[in-house]
Formats: sequence, structure tokens, C-alpha cells
Amino acid sequence: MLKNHPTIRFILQRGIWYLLTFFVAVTINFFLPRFGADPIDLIMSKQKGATGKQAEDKRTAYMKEFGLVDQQKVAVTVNREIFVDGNNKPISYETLSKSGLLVEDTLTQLWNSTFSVTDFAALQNALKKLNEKKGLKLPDWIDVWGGCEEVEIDDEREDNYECLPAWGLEEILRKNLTASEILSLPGININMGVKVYSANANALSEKLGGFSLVSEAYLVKEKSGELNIYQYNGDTQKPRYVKIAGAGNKVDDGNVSFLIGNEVLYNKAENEQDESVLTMLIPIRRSLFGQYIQYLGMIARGDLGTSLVRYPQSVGNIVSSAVPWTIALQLPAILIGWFFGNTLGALAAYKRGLFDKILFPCALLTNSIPMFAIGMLLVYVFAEGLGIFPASGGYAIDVVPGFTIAFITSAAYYYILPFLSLFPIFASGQATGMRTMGIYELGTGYVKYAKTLGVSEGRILMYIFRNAMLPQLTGLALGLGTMIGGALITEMIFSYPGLGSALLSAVQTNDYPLIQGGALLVMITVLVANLTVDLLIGFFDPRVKAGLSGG
Amino acid sequence: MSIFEAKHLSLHYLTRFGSKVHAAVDISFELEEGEILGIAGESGCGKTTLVSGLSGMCIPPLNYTSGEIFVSGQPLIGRPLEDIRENVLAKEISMIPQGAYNALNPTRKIKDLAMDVLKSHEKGKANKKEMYQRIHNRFELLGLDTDKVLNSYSVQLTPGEKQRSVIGISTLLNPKMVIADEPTSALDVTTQKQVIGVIFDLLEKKVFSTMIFITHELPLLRHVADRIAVMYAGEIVEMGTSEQLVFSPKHPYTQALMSAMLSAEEGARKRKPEAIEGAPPNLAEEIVGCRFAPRCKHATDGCKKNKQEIRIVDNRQVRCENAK
Repeated sequence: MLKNHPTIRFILQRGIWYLLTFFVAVTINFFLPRFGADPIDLIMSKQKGATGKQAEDKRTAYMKEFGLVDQQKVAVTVNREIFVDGNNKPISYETLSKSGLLVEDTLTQLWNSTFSVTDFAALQNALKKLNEKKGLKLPDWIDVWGGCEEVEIDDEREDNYECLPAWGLEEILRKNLTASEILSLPGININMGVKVYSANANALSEKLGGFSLVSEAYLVKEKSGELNIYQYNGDTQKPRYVKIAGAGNKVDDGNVSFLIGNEVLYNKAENEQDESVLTMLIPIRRSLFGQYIQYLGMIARGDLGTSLVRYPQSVGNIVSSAVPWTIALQLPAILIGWFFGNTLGALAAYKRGLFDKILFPCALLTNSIPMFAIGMLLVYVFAEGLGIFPASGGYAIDVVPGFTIAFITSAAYYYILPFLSLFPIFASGQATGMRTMGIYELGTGYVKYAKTLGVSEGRILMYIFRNAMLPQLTGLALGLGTMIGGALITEMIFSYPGLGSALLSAVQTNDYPLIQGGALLVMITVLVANLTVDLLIGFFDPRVKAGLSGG
Repeated sequence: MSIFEAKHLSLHYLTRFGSKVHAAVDISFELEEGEILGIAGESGCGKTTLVSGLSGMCIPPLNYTSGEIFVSGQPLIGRPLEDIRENVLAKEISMIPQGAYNALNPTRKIKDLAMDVLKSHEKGKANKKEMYQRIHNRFELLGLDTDKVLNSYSVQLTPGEKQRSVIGISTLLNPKMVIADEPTSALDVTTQKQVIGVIFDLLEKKVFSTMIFITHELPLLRHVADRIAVMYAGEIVEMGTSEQLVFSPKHPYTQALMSAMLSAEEGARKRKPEAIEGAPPNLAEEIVGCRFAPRCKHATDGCKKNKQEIRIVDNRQVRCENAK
């Protein structure tokens, strides 16, 4: 079928090859950081500030971000009814969810941020409102826990409260504080969550004893009316809730409202009065293949992941804020250099003589000077010596980036030296190439023939320029393609904000997701540039085009 | 009045080191309207150099040394190049180049190449459609699949099609004279016949009437030309009608050239062709006496020393003092 459409066949053929190349590149990109030491270990070893639980949480978060672990839903069976209204009737999660102000959402928000005491009061108000709306009563106790370090209260050393947020449930229970009193505790800072408990503090206090309250415990009203406390057993293989204490009849039914944990989804089976099913999300380490599939999925969605060092900034954000600088640095140099170089080269080829004799050696010389040498020379002469131009940075410190005249003039001023270090090299490379091609084309039979037929000079020049241009076009497209990752040295010399600098710092800090994202971006641009050249040459050069149609 | 006249025309190449290579020396001939002059000679004898010189466009390193060229009575050498380009080339003198395979710009369609020639000579006179129609009409005469060829790039054409396209483009402006430089040398016998046929068709249809036909194949010239000039080492050594030259050559070189010709006559198998001993002289050096003398069987002491001038022998021009 495609035989009749050589152009479509050509594009598809190329496209498939490039897609395959891309796939291989992505695979290599995926496996490289997984060959050596554990990237998460490397990152953690560089972050000395965090220890204990916080570090563990961070580690879990990193592993999740890097695709090493997955949260799997696990069904947990528990004999209880969580939501009860004022008349002691169960409220299904669905009803609660539809009611608008969902407590869980509020709590989840709280979970993810740090609150001051006033915020806590706001929460209390919210809960109160909700409860009134629902016909629920405000609980007497609101437990606040979490904090900076592991909550570990040594009963024998009651005065040991150096870490302020270590106000645990035990403490609150022990002191028999009310909600308002809790609020007035010095340094209360909720940053993990809220749990609501029964009014009968003493009963709970006795039973809870040595349990760490960091993991969720639930007060559950049994069918019999008995109240018990359940806790997740922590077993990923056979997850279930274990009854850890009975609250007894001392707990006032009306005061029990609800308990909500962090990563628990309630999935109440309506037909089962006795047994509701709790579905939990539990972190489980992925297999390498699973990680690979997950990585491919991320790439397909255009998600480059999250930076580990600049957590929780996404790689996409970092890259997209760096790329404009890189493009702004290189694109003008490449485009202007290309036009300038090619025009000079064509002129040299056509005019020869003195012009050529001066231009050609100069271009060769410029082209062979390393970029960093020109860059450093420029900094030395114009920034250090004469002080005309700034030595580093992308714009003045006192200017705010944005579409303002002040910013644009500042950026343009700071751009002059980097431009001057890039432009001559690219332009001279193009000029030498164009000169050689032009001289070759001038000697070809068709130019001579056109001359003997008296074809006007302009037309002959156009022949030469067009035919000599084809290989130069490849140079341009490749220049644009490699541009994204290509100006690292320039960015380093001029401390220019760009992808090169971002990648360099990522390499220095083992920020694998950022390295992977940057590498992927460079790969994509190079591949796209190559594909474009392939297709362009196919359409512009009849010699290739004729080959397509088999003519 | 003759259409084209060359008087004692000499051409030289200027080398990088300043020395001169005299590739064409003392060329004189006249062409009447309707006449076809064949120029023959071995490779490197200066045929192509002469052609470049005849068109009036000497592209360095080729330069005029001396002599004159008259086109329709008007002197050509010394006129401004732009004038020659606009008024002489393709209108008065047109070229069919050697090797059509690289005479066509590979990145332009044949119709655009033809259009470029028209546009270069007729600025603003005719509209595009009419120009295309003219090109189309001319290509119809060439026995080609006109629409296909016009819309093709040169790489898509066969050698025969390319050569015929070149002929079509060269004769677009109905030139008074055509200089065909070995138009058939790279072609097989069948294609060669087609191309020659096309040239004859165009002559018959009065697209052009006068022609200089250059080739190293003498039998072909006998078919085509009214007169033949034989060149050796940059000089015309003998010029006469084709009958005279083919059947009774007078100059030793013409004779040798004729006997070196391979033919399909009886007993020709196993007969070693008679090659001419030796090699042509180095044109960069000064040559004393007859240029052919070192290879000539009939050379005498006299002709080895004396520069040979054109003599009229048996109604033809011969550059040999011993010719009878």
C-alpha cells in the first residue's frame, strides 16, 4: 500500500528508526543510575541534617519518587464501624464524601503542612461546624502529635521534654488536659495530623501505655456497643488490625466521632455489618522490570520525575526554567553565526583573491581556538581589565526576571560577552565549510554550462549557494539540536544560568532524576534535529528525493 | 558575409607559477551560413580549449593571446563580458557541452533550468506561461516524453534524455551557430544515433543551421560535417571537405589518424591497430619546427627546424611543408 506513497513511506521509515533509537536511549538512561551504588543511599549520605524517623520518611519519599517503591492497596479486615452520627448510626464513607466538607481532606491538608496554634483553632472550628452540620458532637479530646524527632517519652524521666513538639498523647492524657489546654501548651506545632479520641481519657491512658502513637490507632465501636482500640499490625504480608485494648463501657458513645489515619482509604462493604474492609496503601519495593515499566510510563506522560536534591521541585520545572537561558544563550549565536559565516564563505568562494586570502586563514584560526579560551580571554580583557562588561551571571542582581524593559536590557548587557565567545567559532566553522563547498560547486559542469549559455550571474550564484547550502543546512540543524546540552563550558565560565549549569550541579550532587531528565532532553533534541535534517534533505535535495521514488 | 570567423586565434592557460601553456595556436577558419565544420583530433589536442575560446567567454585561467573572432561581422574579443553574455551567448553562439551528465544542475528541474536561460536573455519581455509553452514546443522536437522530462531532475533522466535535454536548452533561443563539444562521446551507439538524429532534426527544422561539431570520432564526422579540421597539439594541421580528409588525407598526422581508426572491415580481427608512436609535445615548452615532427614518419631536417605555416595543397589547407 505504501509503495504508492514514497514520501509517507520515507517519513515512516525514518520515524521508526528514530523512535527505536530513542527507545534504546531511554533504556540506557534508565539503567545507568541503577548499575552502581544505590542512588538513594548516595543522596542520603550527602544529606547529613536528617536522622531517625524524618530521614526514614525522606528515604521512603525519595524511593517513591525514584520509582523504587510502589504503594500497593492491601485489603485489611476489621470488625468495626468507623463513622457514627449523633444517633449512633453508621455513616458510610460515600455519604461523608458527598457531604462537601470532607474531614479527611481537611486532615490530609493538615498532614502535609505545618500549622501554627491559630491554625489549629481554625481546624477545631471547622470540625465543630462539620460536626454540627452532620449531627456529630465535637470530641473532647484532640490529640496532637508528631514533631521534629522521634516521639519517645521516657516515663521515668518526666522532665525530659527538651523537644517541644514531643507532646504526645501520653502526655496529654497524663496531664488530663482539655482541648483548649492543649492549645495553650508552649510550642505546639502540628505537623502530622490530628486524631480524635474519646472523652474518657483515663481509660485510654491506661490501656495505651507503651504503644507508639506515631502509627495509627483507632477507636472502634463494636456492634455490641463495646469500644476497643485497634492498631495496624505493620505486617505487609498479612495486614490486619489487631485489637490492642478495650475501652470498656466507660467511654461515652456520643463522644466518639471518627478516627482517620494518613494513608487509609475506607472502603466499606455495605452488606457486611460486622466486617468492613479497610484498604491500605503500603509501600512495596518494585522489581527492576516494574521500575522500568514505571519509568517508561513516566516518560510517556512527559513526567521527568522529582529532583532528589532540590526535593520536592520537579525535574520538569527545573529544566524548563533552565532551558530558556540555554536557548537564549545559544540560539542567537548559532543563527547569526550561521548566516554570517555562510555569507562570508560564499563570498570568499566567489570572489577569491585577497578577500579569500585574508578571510580563510582567519576563519581557520578562529575555528581552532577552544571556546573556553576565547571566553576566558573576553572575561579577562573586558570584565577584569576594562570593566566594561560584567564577568558573570545572566542579569543584574537588582533586577527581577520578567517582561520588563529593565530586565531585558540587563539580560542583553550580560549576554554580550557569552555571545562574543560563541559566535566567532560557529561562524568561522560555517564560513570554512561554505567556502570549500562553494569552490567545489563553482567548478562543476553545470556552472560552466550555465555560463556558456549566458545565464545571468545572479542565477548562477543562486545555483551555487543553494547547492552548497545543503550540507550547511545539516550543520545548522545539528547545531540547534546539540545546543541544549552544548554550552556547558560557556555557562561555567560566565556563571550563566542554564541547563549546563543545572546538569553540572546535578552530577556533582548525584541528583539522578535531574541528570536523567537533562540527558533525556538533550537526546530528544538531538534526535529531533537529526530527523528534521533527514527529512529536509530528503525534500530539498532531488538527488535524495529521486532515490525515494525509485526513479 | 560569413557567420563566424576566427583569425589567427591563439589561446593560452596561465599556470599558477606564471608560465603559459599555449593550448590553441593560430586558429583560422570561416563558417558560412548552413555549414557544418567538424573538428577532430586526439584527446588533449586543444579541441575543448578552442571551444571555450570561440564563445568569447574566456574563463580564467584560459586567456586570449592574440587573434580575432568575428560573429556576424562584429568583433567578439574586447567586447564587455556582460554584452557578450546578453547578446552573443545562446543567441548567436550556443554550446552543447561535453558530458551532459554534469551539465545540468542536480537541484533544479529541467523546466526551471530552461526557464533560467530564457529569463536571463529576455528580461520582462514575455510572461512565464508563454515561456513555458516555448520550452515545451522545443522539447517536443526532441522526441522526448516532454512533460515527464520537463518536470524531472537530471538524476531521474537516462543519459540519452539528459543529452537531448541539454540540446533542447542550448537551442532554445534559435542560435545562429551551435558549437557541439563531443555531444555523443559518453553514449552508447544506439543513444548516439538518437542524439545525432535529434541534431539533424533541429537542422532540418531550421532551429539552427550552422554548427561546429567536435569529436574524436572521424567516421562520425564524415556523416555530419561538410568540412573537417584536424587539430594536433593546439594547431589545425589540415582542413578540407570531409571527403578530402577521410579519403585522401595529406598531412601525415591525418593519415596516421585515419589508419589508426578501428573499422569493421574484413580481416580486421587480430589486426593490431596502428597506433601513432610517441606522445604529443608538452605545450608548456617552446616548440621549434613542426609540432608533429617528433612522431612523424616522413619528417625531414627542414620541418624539424622550421615553423610550419598553412599551405594550400589540393584545394585544402595543410600545415606541412612536405605535403603534396
